[in-house]
Amino acid sequence: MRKKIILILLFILPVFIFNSCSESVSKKMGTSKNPYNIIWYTIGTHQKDLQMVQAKANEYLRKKIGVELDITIIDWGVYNEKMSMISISGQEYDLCFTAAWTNNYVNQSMRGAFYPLNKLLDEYGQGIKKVLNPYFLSGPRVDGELYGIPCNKEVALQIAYRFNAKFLKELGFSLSDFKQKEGINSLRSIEPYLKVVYEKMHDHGVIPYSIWKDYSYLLPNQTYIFGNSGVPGAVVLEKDNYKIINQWETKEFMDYLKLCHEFYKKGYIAKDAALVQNSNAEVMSEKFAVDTGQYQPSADVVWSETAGYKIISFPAFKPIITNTTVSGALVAMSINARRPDLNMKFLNLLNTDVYLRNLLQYGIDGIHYEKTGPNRIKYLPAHNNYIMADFTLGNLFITYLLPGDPDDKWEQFRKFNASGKPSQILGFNPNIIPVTSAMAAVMNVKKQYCSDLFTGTVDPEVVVPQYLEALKTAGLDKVLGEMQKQLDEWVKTEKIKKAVTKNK
Amino acid sequence: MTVRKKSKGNPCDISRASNLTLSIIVAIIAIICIYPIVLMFMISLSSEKSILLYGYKFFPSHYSLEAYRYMFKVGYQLLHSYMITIFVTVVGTILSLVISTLYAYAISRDDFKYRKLFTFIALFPLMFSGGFVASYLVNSQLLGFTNSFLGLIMPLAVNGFFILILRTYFKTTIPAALIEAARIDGAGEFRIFYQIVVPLSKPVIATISLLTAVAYWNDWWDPLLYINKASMTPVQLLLQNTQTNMQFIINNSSSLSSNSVELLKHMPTQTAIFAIVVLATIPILCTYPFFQKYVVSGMTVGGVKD
Repeated sequence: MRKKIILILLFILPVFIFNSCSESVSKKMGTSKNPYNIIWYTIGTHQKDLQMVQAKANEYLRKKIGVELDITIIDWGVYNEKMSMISISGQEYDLCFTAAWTNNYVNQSMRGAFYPLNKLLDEYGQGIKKVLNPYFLSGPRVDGELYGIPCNKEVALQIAYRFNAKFLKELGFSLSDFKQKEGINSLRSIEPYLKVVYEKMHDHGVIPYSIWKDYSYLLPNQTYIFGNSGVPGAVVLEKDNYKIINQWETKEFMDYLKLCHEFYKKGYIAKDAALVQNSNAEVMSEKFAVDTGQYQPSADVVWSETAGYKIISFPAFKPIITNTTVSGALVAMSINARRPDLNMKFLNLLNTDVYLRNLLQYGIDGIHYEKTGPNRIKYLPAHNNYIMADFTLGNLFITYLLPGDPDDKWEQFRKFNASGKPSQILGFNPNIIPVTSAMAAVMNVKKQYCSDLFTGTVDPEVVVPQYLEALKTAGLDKVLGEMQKQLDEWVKTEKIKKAVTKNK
Repeated sequence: MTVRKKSKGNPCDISRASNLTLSIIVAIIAIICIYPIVLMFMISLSSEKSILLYGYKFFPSHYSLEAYRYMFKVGYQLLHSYMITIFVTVVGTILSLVISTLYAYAISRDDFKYRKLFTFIALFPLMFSGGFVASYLVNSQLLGFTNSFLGLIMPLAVNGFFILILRTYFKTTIPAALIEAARIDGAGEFRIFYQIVVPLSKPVIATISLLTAVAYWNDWWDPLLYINKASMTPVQLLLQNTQTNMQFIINNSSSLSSNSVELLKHMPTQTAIFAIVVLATIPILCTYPFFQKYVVSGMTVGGVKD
């Protein structure tokens, strides 16, 4: 018996040895004398000069607010998995990047992975409140609580039709030939052009209208509960309208799908569109004529630069502000952060301090870039060792301009943001936990049908009824019922809030 | 008897016709195996544009060394990752061998009292495992494997299957009389192990070490879980990251904001990814011929009973 106990102890012993090792490591950080160490996970690719820039930033931050940064850049493709592992395991960290498209902001907030920021923002985030577009602070709320500081960039979404300028000119068209109106009418007005492209260039492998597997169309007068127009659940954009409908049952949606199917039958859409991942291959090989993209100020310049030839565009509808557009990129604080106050102070600085923001964005003056004007810079060769994704590092509007940028670049962004119309349910983020299994079934059905329908591969008049039937069996009514209930509650609390602020 | 002797010198000989058919079948299988590797090499040599225009082709329309030039430019990371992988493979294989052989030898001896218990401990995780979330929690929280070499080495260090193979081999090929003789000659347990048992078990140890080394070399899952620092990224994870990064950026380029151009410009291209694959596979490919005889003999190890 004694021997057995010894044996068991021998097995357990290594665990304690390892454990004590790791504990001594974690104890090293954040003693009261040393500056507080902010562990910050962000998305991107590893940069050779990160340590150098970080050291420089730490020098500045130590003096200013008594903190130090410990930045870890996790690769794009694995960020989502890694962050969910890190937060599930309760590992200690301070800040992380989150968005609607990776490390899902709403889900993580609901799970309780992030620290609620309302109070902290009032206390230490006055600068953020001043510089950020107000919709950024009112939009990404979960149960009325803000869980991340959004990056100040374009607040609204506007889809644009993009044209290969060379083809447009060769075939004798110009943008003014198209009805630059809302939604389906502008798509219809493009049809004559698509027809000519098809007749003249089809033999050269040019596809008139490039759309792809995950492409989902947005109707200008609807906003989508789940941020994706394929997933049923929409609200018509009208003031004080809070009724959830299934967009697939609406006539406008059907009209659009029919038009797509017509295009497909005529050969304007590639035969394998429902299988293609994106339009990148066509754009890069100059075999595209028209496709769609998300517009922002000076987008044409950016697109042209990516493709290597001229691309021009016109918007498909007026910019709208939705939950998805305001949660495009945020920095959130971990629920396990030891000093939320210092973290918030740092975030405030990151969004307001020109020196710090540009240091983290472009690197060190004289090494990675040099100044050519008061707020304009030029890259130096060492820039290649430090390239950061701009939207992961807070407020864009205080970053320096690059050689190709217009002087009023950020002014244009402000104007664009001001032109955006907020949806009436901005700030309502549904909680799908009560209907998890039904939602999963709905998503499976959606996956099965959506690509085919949106790319016009199948006849909508036949397939949409099948889709609706499948959705019903999957339990869509239950999901939408729950959403409607949550929305009604949300509307009630919003009204109370408004009344309170008015009385004040 | 006599008739058979006349027609065939050796009972294992086969007729010319079946020899030919078998050769053809084996040749086809060999080609199926080799084709993807050669194709991979050819893609790494083709120009980016020709891939965009015509897709992957065995004989690209335009050849280009751009991919290798790119790799040369960002080579420091690749070289660094190579060092990590080689270090982990060597240390991990040695550690794994030491643990496995000692463990297996102990449970192969009939006079070891707790052999049943320990056989059970080795066998049990082969059939039931805790699942990966549980193991991640234990490894990262309790044992502190995050961003340390332990995270790269420990998860693969003990394989119950290898222990059982070794145990069977020790049990069946090393007669108890030999060990007894050694004991009479005055050898202690350790001396018996490393001077008698290990030299006699060379084939099985070589096989196990090869399998372990390949497992360490190809492992990208454990580093994906436990490694966050570029300075500790092994080659296979680097490859995986490069591949998924590019896919991710292209798919999300519309929702990423203004400097996605800048990001894309510095991403490796399709051809570069294949170049990395070539560079990552060649070393392990080169070691195969030297170990091949052990791989073959390894198949029968543990299957023979006297």
